[in-house]
Amino acid sequence: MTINNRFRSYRYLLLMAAVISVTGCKQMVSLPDRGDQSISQGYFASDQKAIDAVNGLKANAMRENGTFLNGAGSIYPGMSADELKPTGSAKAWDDFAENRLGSGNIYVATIYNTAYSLIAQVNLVLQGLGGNNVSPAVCTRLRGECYCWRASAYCLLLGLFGDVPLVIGTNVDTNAILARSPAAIVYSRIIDDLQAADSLLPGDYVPGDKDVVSRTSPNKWVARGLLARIYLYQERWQDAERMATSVLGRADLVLEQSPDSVFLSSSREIMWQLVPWGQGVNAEATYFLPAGANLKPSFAIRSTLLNAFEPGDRRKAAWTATNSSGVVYPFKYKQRTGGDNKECYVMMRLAEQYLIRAEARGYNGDLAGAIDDLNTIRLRAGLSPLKNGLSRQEVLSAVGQERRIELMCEWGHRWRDLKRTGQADSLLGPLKPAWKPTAALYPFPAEELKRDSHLVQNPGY
Amino acid sequence: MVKLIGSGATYCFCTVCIMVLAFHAATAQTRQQTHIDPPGFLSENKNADTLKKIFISFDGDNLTLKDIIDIIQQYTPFRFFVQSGISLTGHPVRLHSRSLSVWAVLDSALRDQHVRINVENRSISLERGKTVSQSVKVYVVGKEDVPLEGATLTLAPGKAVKTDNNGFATMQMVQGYDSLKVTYTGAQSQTVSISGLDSIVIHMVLESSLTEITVNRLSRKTRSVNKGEIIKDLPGIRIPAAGTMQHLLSGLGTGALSIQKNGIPGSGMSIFIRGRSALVGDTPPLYIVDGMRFISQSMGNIVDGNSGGVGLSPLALLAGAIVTDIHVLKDADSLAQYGAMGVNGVVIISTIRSRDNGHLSFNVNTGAGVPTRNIHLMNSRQYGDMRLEALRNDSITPDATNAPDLVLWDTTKNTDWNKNVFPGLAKVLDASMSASMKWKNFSLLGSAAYRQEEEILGHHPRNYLGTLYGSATYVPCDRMQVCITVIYSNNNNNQYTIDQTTLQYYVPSVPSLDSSQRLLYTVNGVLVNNPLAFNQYKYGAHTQTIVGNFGLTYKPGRWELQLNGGYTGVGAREGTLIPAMAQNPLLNPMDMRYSAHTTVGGRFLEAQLSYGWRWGNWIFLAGGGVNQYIQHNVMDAPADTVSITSASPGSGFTITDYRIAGASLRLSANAGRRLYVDMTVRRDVSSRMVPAHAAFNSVAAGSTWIFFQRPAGSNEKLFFYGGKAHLSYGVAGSDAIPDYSYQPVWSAMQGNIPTQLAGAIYPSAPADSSLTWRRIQKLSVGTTLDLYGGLISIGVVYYHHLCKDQLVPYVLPSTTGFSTELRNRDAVLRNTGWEISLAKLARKNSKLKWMSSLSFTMPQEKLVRFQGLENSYYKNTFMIGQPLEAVKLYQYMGVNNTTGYFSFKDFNGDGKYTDSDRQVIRKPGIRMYGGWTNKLQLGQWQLEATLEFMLQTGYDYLRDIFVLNPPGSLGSDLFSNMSTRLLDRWRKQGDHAAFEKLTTLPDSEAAMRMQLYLNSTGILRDASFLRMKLLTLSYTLPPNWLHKMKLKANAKVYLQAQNLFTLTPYPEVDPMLQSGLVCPLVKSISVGFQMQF
Repeated sequence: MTINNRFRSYRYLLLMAAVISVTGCKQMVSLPDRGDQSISQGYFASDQKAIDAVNGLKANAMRENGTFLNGAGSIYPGMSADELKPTGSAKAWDDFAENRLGSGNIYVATIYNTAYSLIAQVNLVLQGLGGNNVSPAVCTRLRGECYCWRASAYCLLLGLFGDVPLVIGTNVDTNAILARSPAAIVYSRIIDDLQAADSLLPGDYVPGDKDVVSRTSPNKWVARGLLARIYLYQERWQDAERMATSVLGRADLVLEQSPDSVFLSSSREIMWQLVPWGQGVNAEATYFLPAGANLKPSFAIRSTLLNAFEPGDRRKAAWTATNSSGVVYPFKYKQRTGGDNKECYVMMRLAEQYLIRAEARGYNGDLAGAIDDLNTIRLRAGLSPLKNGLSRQEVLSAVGQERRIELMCEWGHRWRDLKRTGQADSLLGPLKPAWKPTAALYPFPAEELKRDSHLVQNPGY
Repeated sequence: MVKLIGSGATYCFCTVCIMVLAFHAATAQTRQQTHIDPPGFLSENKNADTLKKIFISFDGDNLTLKDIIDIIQQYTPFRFFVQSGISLTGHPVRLHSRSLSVWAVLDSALRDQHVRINVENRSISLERGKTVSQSVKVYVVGKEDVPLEGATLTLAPGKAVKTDNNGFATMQMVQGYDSLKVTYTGAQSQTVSISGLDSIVIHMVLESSLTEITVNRLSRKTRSVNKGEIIKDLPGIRIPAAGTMQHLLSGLGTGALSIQKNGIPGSGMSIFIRGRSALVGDTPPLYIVDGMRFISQSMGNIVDGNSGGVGLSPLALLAGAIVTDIHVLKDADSLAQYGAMGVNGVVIISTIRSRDNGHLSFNVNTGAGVPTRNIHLMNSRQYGDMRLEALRNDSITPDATNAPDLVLWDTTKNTDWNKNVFPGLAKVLDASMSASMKWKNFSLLGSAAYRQEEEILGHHPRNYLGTLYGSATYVPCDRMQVCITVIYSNNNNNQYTIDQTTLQYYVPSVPSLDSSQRLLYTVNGVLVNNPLAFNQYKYGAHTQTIVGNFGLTYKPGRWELQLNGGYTGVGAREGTLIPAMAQNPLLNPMDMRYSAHTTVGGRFLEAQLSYGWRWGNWIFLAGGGVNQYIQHNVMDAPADTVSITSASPGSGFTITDYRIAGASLRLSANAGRRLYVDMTVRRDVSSRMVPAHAAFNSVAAGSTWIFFQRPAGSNEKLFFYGGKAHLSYGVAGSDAIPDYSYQPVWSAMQGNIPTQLAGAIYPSAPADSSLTWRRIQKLSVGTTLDLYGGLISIGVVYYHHLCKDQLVPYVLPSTTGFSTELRNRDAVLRNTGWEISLAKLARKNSKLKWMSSLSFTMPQEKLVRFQGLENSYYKNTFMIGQPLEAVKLYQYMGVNNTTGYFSFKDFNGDGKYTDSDRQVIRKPGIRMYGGWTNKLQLGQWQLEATLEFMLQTGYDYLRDIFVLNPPGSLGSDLFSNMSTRLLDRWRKQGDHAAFEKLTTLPDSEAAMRMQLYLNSTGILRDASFLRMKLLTLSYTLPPNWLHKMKLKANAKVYLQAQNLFTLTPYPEVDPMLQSGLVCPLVKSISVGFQMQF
């Protein structure tokens, strides 16, 4: 029993306040380390984690059908050029086929968004690889692969939109206000990337075992093949010939004997392919092949293209098919369901290199060499070889014809070829009433113009 | 439960009673500032003042007056002079207290003797005199110490008084009687001994099944000190005890707006307390169940497997039967204790507690429901006419490509899809029971509830809900209480994978079954979706919820220590099967399965300490506490999967963590029970913010002034009966941003990725380390007046909230690789509003009792500031000086009867409709909302009716439908039928019609006009409504009936209707949903029986 001095209680209060201010500190909210489950910390901390990030590129590219690297690259330019025509009545598709795109077209937006999403991912991976935790050998290879990804993406973007914003860094604020860069600058960045990739990447193709598809990562030959393509587009004929030559004549890269086996995942003609998701069917197969025997395919090959096949061309039987109601559709890929990766998605194949060299040699004056390369392709197609003694003009037009057939409905080659050879107006004009010269470039999506005030629309939109 | 208090001990009692806890977040019995001060306990004795200021601790049984005098003389300077004849050894007393005044101690020791105390300087003389207690002051309280008015106190035959509105009465002693009988309607009567007392507090145990609880809730005493809370009057609890939280959370009172988005059982609802505080997204309140922060996020993860996209809310799936009341905290002062968690308001859900000596009760309820309102669709002929007319307008000849519905299909066939989708009555069965017992210091309560509810859609998929509840309370002594509560809920939901409401727009002539009743997918060569196929889709969601909570309270003297903690866990397993037979066989389909498993666990721990003291007329309480909340989410779901049977860890496995901690200090003061002042400072730390900005300091202050109180003993008919004013101000911060926003997030690629890429990751969000707290400044002032003998009460509140540093998704161009990034914008959103409530209580002595309560809120929202709006992505979304919903529209001028097109006002007169003609600013949204509840009681009969009303402008539901499928055209998914409203369309010159001429071409003039129409004043509708939300008629069986059956029980039968009717000018669909694409609300009628032993 003591007298309670109530004033003593204030001291308790002060003590209590002190305790609270000490314990109410940030340690109470520090999050537990859950390894690589969700937080960025821990990424690029080991070789495997760096590989996971690069695998993310491969997976993301094939994640959804109809995106930039999964279908869109063949379907939309195919329609814009003189290759494909939609059989249904979807306005957004018709607008491609009629060359009357609007900036509100949702597919244009999809192409643009998924392209830059991929480029941003490449840039973030490159930034991550800049750390010190990945072994030099792995880091070198992965950086080389990233450069190839970025270069192919910009190459395709230039073919669709003309001058495009060049994103190479990861700062969101900077990237949000980018203006378009002139194509020349973008091309020079592509060449820098590819030259770097050439020096960073190994030259071997690791054969895949039975369950694992091979040639799914770009290597030195992919970098050089892409360089050859870019030099061709830039009309640097000597460089184009040199690059293509360095790729051609390798024992592990040869043309398949039969056109039927060109797109199988085991094909030795393939330089780089991507593995589809799900049931192992790529988006082109899903879009081009009809869902059932009696159903209409979504896209029909235009008669002008069908008529361009020479009689006896084995590729016509192998790469086109006809449904019960007589609609002819692309048949390069043949598996629409349950593919089990028998076919993957071919990003680049050797035949194009022969055609690049043929064209370059034509301009370089080596007509015999050009005819030689063309005949390599024609032989496989079951066509008679071209005779020597053709004029340069004849050789070049033979190259054009061969490119049109060999690379039909594939990665928009026809669309880019029409534009770079100046034939777009003369060929597409008569074919499509709505054609305007400005239709050679796609519009920038209206939504993007709203979001990036420095972006300027292409003329005609 | 009777608390006996001698007059001397009152000081201590007062201190405990006014203890306002510094932090209530995890308080098991969320006590809300029930300040009680039994009036007149301290006898006014000027001489005794000094004795009242000296405090002393006592601890002992059988203390005689001599012992007490010895102790006082030993520890104080006082000396005693005791007149002979006063017994020093008789009447021993028991005293256990650490802070009793000398006066109080003496008063206890002398209470049975006729002794007068005289104090002069340091001398205390005890002289024989008259008895101290000629009368006893009686104070009757109910649950949470709410004073009970009208309790009858009977001492001797013919000697009865009633308590006044303060629960107070003075009982004159009668020789020979010392036991007082206390009766109160709705409570068990008690008999207590008042021998030798001069005052007593009697706690009545109220039977929770009777309406009188509500009367008490409305009584003035509780209101007079409540500053910001709404206590929801829970009609659903007391009478039918049926339904889920989804039913209980609608109509929470002034300032709390609840909007149901969908009629599917278990679907979530939006609750806004005093407006939306963010520019983008909902700002849901914090839900507290039994002191635990409840996880209320949507648990649906399968892309289209969750109640039409609204998500399954674990909160909506909790059984209503275990809930006793719902409190809504709105103002800055009462929210201060919740810090960042409660910045959008707090909804406190309290569950049943065992406070009585044991009971057993049952309730059964069954009924059936139909849609409230729905669309009248065209029949096959009307549809065919519409299509033909549209094609004719476009000069198109129907053929198999452009009009398979007219050319290939049998146009005389008429499937009433409306009837297919809403085939008839959806049944509901709800049953619950609860039992409690008391054994020594333990009380136990258990409850079980079961509910089986059918959707009104299709084949009535069912939602099963089972809830088990248990609580145990242990009170070892007066100073200590331990309570443990466990709620377990198990829900099985077999709803459809899609909201089938959309199927009613299916073309009425589409053939769906072939001659052998198999599903058709191609009709004459045209590939179609088969709407019946959706019925074959299987979806199941199994959600389990557990809430465990413990609380410990220890009150040594003026100190109070509280420890609270608990765990809330929700686990949901979902699975979908799209069988091959429900897919087009031409596509070589396989069975497709999707599954997802989500678990969210939250832990909470809190400790707080408070201390109360008195200084003159002031009573103070100071306290502080620390708390920490930890949430851990595990999501195992494929994002876009083909034939995944079970997602395995490593692919599509995401774990997120969230932690928030806070420390607070609070000071409360009370001056003479007239002025109450509270102040809180608090510091919150959140894991969502970058460490440099992790902490936010908030402050809040509140005050209530009872400026007029009816003097004791004055005329009951006094017109001006009482009044108070309150003021509250505070600044708080919100951390409502996604976890990890400040750092770059790489996520595991989800779904069926190629095996050789297993483990692939991708960057899922950009980093922004500049993110900081959203600041919300809240001010509210209000007054409450009690008039006309306290029977009528009027409350008016004005609130003014400024929400600053708005977090706005900064919409990024694709070149950044991301679509949005959160940024703090220099934007200020202002929410103001008036909240008005009127209540009328029933007269105690009238035979017909009528109680009525009307409340309404007039909210106003205004974007005060948005730095750089003109150059931002939001320049066409928001307008400064306008509410967020405000839009610029074309002025609609009707359908031109010559051309047949929609026409609009050409403001600039250039002959074209351009953006510059979009000049009319309109503000769709709610202007006023409220409710009106009336209760009538006559004898055994009770009638209760709750009306809900809203004054608002909304969009015609046709807007969404026209965007999907313009009238007259055939959409690729065949959802092309239209409401019969489209019969009123322009067909030929001179027609005056509501809708323009039809077209099928997307770029025709008519289609262009349709786009303008959708952005014109013509698409706005008055969506105000008045709804009979709940109507209950109940009959309490007369007790003697049951007694004849030898049953000692109360029983009641009732008939209840929900959403019985809706009066609205809004066309066809429900004005709250304003959509023809989501499941309508349910109108239901049920009967029930309730019995209690």
